[in-house]
Amino acid sequence: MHSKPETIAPNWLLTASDRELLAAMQQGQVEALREIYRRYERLVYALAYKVLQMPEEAEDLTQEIFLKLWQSPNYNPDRGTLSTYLCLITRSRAIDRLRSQGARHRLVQRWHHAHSDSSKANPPLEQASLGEQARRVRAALANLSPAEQEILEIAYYEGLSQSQIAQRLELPLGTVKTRSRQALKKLRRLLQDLI
Amino acid sequence: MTRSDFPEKWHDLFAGYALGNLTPAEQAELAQLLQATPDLQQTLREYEAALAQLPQALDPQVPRSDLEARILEAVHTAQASLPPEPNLVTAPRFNHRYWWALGGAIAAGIWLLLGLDNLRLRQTLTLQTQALKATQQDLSLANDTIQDLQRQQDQAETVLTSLRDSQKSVYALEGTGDLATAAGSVVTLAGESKAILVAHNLPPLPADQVYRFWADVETAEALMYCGEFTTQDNEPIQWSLPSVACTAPAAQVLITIDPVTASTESGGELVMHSLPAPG
Repeated sequence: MHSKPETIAPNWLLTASDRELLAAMQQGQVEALREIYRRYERLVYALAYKVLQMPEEAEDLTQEIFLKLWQSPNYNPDRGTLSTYLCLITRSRAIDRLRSQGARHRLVQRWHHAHSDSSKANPPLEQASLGEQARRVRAALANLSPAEQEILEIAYYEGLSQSQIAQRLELPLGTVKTRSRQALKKLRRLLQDLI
Repeated sequence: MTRSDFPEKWHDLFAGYALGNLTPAEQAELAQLLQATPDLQQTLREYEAALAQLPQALDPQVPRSDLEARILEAVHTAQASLPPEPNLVTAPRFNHRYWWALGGAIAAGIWLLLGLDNLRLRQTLTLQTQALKATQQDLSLANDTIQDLQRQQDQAETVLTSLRDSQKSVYALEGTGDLATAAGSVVTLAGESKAILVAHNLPPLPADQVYRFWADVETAEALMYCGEFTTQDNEPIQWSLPSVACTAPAAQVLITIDPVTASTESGGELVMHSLPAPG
């Protein structure tokens, strides 16, 4: 007989730090995993969806990420925040899935989707933030030129090679490298106190 | 040197690393840089972390509300099916792939154990077979040794019998020339017209050569040819004496090496001669 998951977390979990939640989770407390999930489900799912563009696949990957965290947490708090770690592994696995599921077809699909998104009057970076960190990141991105934002997002979310990016943007390869590095250097300076 | 003091080239390398667009030469340059200044790893991580902030700016996307329940149900299912161990996180069961992987791992483990056990048994069998073969070889050698000893005993008894029953002449021999280390005794048996030689360090000869035995007897003006023989492993040697005169007491006996085809009118290289009888 399986015990049903609880729906209400103990109070201490709501105020616990990520490090405390991870310690509790490693002691086998499922409630700690649930609290971690509630804190980061939107971030993980949004990233998975951004890369995969398919709700079902994004959910499947989200489930995989949190169960992987439960099964064998390799996260080291001394090397960065939990949100950064979750983004790193989600992006990595999402791009792996993207490549393994027929890159050409998926990329064409994504390309059309991206163009339809870009025609919206209210792009993501201009929408209201969900939190201070989101607001800071959006502000930092707003300080980049549109070309720099574009090249960073393609490099990050699509897992394309430099030559593929150059082909996509019809730019010389050297320009792609220089522009993307310049954009990241700016972003790091702007987010210095967050990372 | 503070972070802002880093050469711009370094920041290019860090950014290129985080973006995954370093050339092989740049990768080598960065590796050397990090090796020389390990503290730069922190700055490198800052670039990775800065890039990882991008999803924070994404449009909010919320998965279906039952995803949380599905994940927790998978964890609870795994906990119910596996006995919890103290201080260890129980492995969750979350989808078919997990079970296939788990089943595969168990099957692989069993296969590995069986394989190792089979290998161990094969090794044991091989060792035992080798040991048995060695024992059989030892037994065969022991049987050969017994047969050799039996043969030598038979020969010795034959010699003793001959020595007991016959009129005999005994000569002590010593080596000379190339066979100076040789030594031995030879007995001539009048009743059986044969000689028995017990010698040491008298080597076997090539197939085209032979030892010849000569006697200086009173009835002959020259050394008398008294037979020939070959040696083998210092064993007693018997040969027939070609003439009764050879059984008579001799002033001296000699052993030479001669070609098999050589005439018996004269001897070849002298290798042993008798010592004068004591007193």
